[in-house]
Amino acid sequence: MLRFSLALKKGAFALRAEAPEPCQRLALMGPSGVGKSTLLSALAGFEGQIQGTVQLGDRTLAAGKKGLAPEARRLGMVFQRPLLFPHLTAEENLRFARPPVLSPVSFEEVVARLDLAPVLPRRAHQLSGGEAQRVALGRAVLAAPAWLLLDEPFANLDPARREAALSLLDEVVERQGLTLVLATHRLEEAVSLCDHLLPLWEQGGVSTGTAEPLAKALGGAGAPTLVSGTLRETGGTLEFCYGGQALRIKAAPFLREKDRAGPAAALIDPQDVRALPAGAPAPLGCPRFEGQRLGADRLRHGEDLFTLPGPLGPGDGSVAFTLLGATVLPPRRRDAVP
Amino acid sequence: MTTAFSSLRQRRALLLLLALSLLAPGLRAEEAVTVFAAASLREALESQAAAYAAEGHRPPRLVFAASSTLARQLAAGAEAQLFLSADERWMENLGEARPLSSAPLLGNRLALLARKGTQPPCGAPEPCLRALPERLGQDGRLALGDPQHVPAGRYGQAALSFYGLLPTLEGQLLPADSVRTALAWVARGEAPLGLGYASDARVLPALEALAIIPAEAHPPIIYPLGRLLDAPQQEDARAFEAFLRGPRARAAWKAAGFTPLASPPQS
Amino acid sequence: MMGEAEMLATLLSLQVAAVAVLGSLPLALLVATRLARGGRGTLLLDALVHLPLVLPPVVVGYLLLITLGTQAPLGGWLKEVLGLRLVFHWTGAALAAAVVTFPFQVRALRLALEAIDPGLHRAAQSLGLSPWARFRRVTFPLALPGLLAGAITAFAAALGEFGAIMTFAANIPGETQTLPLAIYSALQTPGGETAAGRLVALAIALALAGLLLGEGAARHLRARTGQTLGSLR
Repeated sequence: MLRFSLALKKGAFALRAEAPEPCQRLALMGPSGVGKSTLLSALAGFEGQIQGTVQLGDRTLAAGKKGLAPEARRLGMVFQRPLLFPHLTAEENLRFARPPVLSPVSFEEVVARLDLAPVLPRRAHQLSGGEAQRVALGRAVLAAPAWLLLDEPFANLDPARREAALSLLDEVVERQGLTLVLATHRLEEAVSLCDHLLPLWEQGGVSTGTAEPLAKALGGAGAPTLVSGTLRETGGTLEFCYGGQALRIKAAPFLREKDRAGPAAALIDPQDVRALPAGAPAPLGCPRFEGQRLGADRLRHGEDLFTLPGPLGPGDGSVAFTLLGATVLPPRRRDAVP
Repeated sequence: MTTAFSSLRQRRALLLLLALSLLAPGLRAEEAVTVFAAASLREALESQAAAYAAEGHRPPRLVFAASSTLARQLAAGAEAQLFLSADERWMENLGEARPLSSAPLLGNRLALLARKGTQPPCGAPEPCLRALPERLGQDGRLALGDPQHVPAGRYGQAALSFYGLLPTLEGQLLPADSVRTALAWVARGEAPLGLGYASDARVLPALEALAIIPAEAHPPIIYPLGRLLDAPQQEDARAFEAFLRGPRARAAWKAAGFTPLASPPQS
Repeated sequence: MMGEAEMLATLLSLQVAAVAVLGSLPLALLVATRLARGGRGTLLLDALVHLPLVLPPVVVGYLLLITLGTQAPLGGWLKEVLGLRLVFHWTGAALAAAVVTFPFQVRALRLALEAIDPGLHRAAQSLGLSPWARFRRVTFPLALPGLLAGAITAFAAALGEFGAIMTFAANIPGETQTLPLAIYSALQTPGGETAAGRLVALAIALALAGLLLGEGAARHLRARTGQTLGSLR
């Protein structure tokens, strides 16, 4: 269980973040560059000048200006780059932390679940980005840590492997009662693994955020819905290609990616969604498709069909759309969505 | 029709010719003589050169090093007019490479030297020398020029051999690339004793001569002065050589601790 | 084939160079680490380290003489208390060679250390390794090719050191007469050209062998740690 409150200044960059209630699975979300990695780094003890407290369970890792060295914090950390030791094989990297023989997670299990058997004898420079990332993840897990700090660990993985990694993590965290802090910009990862959310965003030159239970972060008036799709921003509004329909949102969604033309995740209140007027140019890649009405019970993990409940468009009833490239939330965590 | 010397170019050429002809006598001005001399002659030769310059000549250029080094450089074609070697051997060696005319100039004595006040005084030279191993002890080294090529070293080694000290002291010798380097070590206190020239004790105030080595213990020390016949400025070279052999110079050599030798009259 | 004196000079050269390089390695590592870390005082330390490179070796020998000669306080203390003889002793020749070749080792080591991805140190920290364990298991293995390259360069340079050894340790056959000094002496002696020629050939052969060996070892190690120079091509 993690509790912290910290402030940090690094040159022109300032960060203030807190998790006042103990959380076990915390997701850090925010646009690129806002400071997710720095916050993780500060929690790990790598940033020198921090003020505040970090408490893990009943251990105080940092208080005031003093804190334990990173090697004393019993971390398991995955950085944005795999950072595998180049002079060692993948297997030696995995075993680097020399886990005790009676480790809760066995070496064989990690290798099997992350599909690392073929790459074990290879050296770091002989691995692809995805393979290296999986080795890094395995290495952190096998270090028998007290908590896991993960910085976008699934970035280079294809969907199937991502699923395998997600489920391994979920199990490991559950089985050992570990604390998890996950920095990601993919909402579905956050939602599938975590129960708390700390959204970081820049306000007045300071990146700031407070952790809240996930349901609360996602809850609120209007029952926002989790979607992903392709967004395009044009002059203050977002045009959103969703289900073959071109939609426009006046208010900015809850989270926005800096990379506007690419795939993004967002929390959108359906109340804010309007259909584009007839004759307006369609957002990129937005063909038309006559959709089918789908019931919630037809939702299946992996399918790319999704029903958006709630009114959309002026005065409409519920409308079914066919999505372009959206991601369905894994069934396990669906109950977090109100 | 043009008359002679009427064009500008021809006039200029004539003026140039006139100017040069006026300079002509000045082109035969005196150049400095270069002398390569053994290291042990530094102070004495420098004062001789100063006296020569005071007479109105161009001050000679002096180059000091071990005779071996100098002979090699001259054999390789170094530009110098005179060579003052510390032994005949190196002069002969040079003579095989370049034409020269040489005759003995100075003699010297070998001495046992130490830093002033660090060693008990010697009585008679021979017993003092025979007691060298005791003076040196286990660790102490006897500094001298490298016997392989430095004349002072050769003389020194001969003297040690004469008194039967060579087998005992062989491992305690400290060969230097010139006699002055050897004596510098003695002066620094790195070596307790050194073998150098009696003349050295006079010019190195830090040192004192404990004993003068009897002359029969080594081949006679002869400093020949040679003139390289294929060097330029032969006239100036001859002039300085005559000065060095002259009566004023002889007195100065004596004062410096050398023995001026009688030499056949110069042609 | 080789006379006794030549054999002696060769062995002495190897001994002096080896001791010079190995003896200065720990200090070179310390200094290189400090320089790689950066911060205050780095510039001054860097300049001091490179001083022997720009000073004439004879000056280096002279400075050693006045600080470590038997009459100097430090030198005298070393001799009286530790029984360590430097002047006119092969240890002095090794020290002179070490001082002159120190910059080579530090440079190569510093480059090797700086080339290590700093993220790797963090990764090692995150896995719970103490600073010494991090050095032993990450920093040192990755810096090893550079260390080797620096040591070999220093070794070859030490084999060729002349002025500093001549001034500080003198030219004593069998004691401090390394190959370069032996060549010098042979050249001074009438008729010594053939001997000098043999010694020169020997010196070149030794230096080449050392360089090839070292470069080969460094390459092999670099390939093993995935630090090939392929990216530079």
